[in-house]
Amino acid sequence: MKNNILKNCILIISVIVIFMSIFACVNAAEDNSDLTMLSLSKGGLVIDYPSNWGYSESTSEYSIMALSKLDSIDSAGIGQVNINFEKKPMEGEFYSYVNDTYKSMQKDSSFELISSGGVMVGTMDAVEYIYTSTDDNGTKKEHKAVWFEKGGQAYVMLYSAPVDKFEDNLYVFDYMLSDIQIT
Amino acid sequence: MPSDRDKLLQIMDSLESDYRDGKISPEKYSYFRSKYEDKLNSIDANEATQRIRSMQGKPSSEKPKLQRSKKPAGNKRDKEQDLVQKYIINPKKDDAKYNKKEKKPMDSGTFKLLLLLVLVLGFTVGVGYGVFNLDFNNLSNTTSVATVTDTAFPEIHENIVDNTTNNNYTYSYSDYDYSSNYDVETTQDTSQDSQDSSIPYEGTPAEETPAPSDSGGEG
Repeated sequence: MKNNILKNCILIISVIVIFMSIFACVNAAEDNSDLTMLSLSKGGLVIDYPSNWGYSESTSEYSIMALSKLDSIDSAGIGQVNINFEKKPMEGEFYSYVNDTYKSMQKDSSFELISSGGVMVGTMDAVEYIYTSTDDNGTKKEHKAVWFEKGGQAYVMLYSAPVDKFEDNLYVFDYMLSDIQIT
Repeated sequence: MPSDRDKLLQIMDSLESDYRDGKISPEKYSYFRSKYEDKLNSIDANEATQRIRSMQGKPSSEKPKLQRSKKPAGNKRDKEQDLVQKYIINPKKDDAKYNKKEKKPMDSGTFKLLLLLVLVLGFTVGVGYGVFNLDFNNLSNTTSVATVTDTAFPEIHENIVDNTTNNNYTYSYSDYDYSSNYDVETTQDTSQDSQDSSIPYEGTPAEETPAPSDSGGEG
């Protein structure tokens, strides 16, 4: 009787170990690509991003987290292709607040508004602005900013890249936007 | 005087009748029946032994039997009452062994071993599954690799466009005024210079001549 129980237990353990080994092998075979997806959670946002991007420090006081494409970082350590997640306490009504931001931007000749419109972030209504800016060194960058409101705060996800690299990396930003979890 | 064997047979008969009447459960019945059958068998075996010993001419030891037979036998009613007391009213008191639970096919040692194995198995499977599913590469490294200067809240220099235009205009206007004044003065100076400089600088164009110093030098 005792022997039978022991034999059964050993058999069950062996079967489970075999199944787990097979499962691990299959997973390893699926994950052999160089580019993996990483997760980052900060300030109520959870995002997935490809491993050729890295976590960066933003100079903005409103930044929640920022990412830079690793091969776009210059010798001074400044990322050229970046995604910055920011939030700021809102003053007044959301749409007016965002519109006012870009109205004031239009008074600055270094900014040029290309387009704007409504989009969805998950189930939330959001507004999108695409514009260019020229920095002090004369580098022209294109930006895509998606704004939404949550808890009386204006959240904005800003994708910035030099004009010639903007379209090439836009899909990463769009993926993050579609996959973002707001807690 | 009934012997032990007869008493046992009587008890077994009453046990049988109690069982038939439904006074005792089948479990009790089977237990006591087997118990009394064992006793009966032992008595039979003892009697057979005595017979063999007597056939061999050896003295038989009847002491225990005699002692047992000394016990006064009650009438049938008393016996029945005893049986009822023994089997129905208070069976626990009379037979503690009966109240012990029957041994399960799996004893406690095996059960503990099995329980331990299940726990170890569960722990191993849980840890293994977690380790296999945990993607260590997926844990993001939060040490910053770069600095991001782009922000959705940039500093806006609202006056840049207007100031630039105004400055240019002012500058042009000033330049124009300055040029006009300069031309006027130059004309005056040149006239003087051309007159004065004709002596020291022969063949030199008038506009190349530094007028104030030369005029002062002359005086």
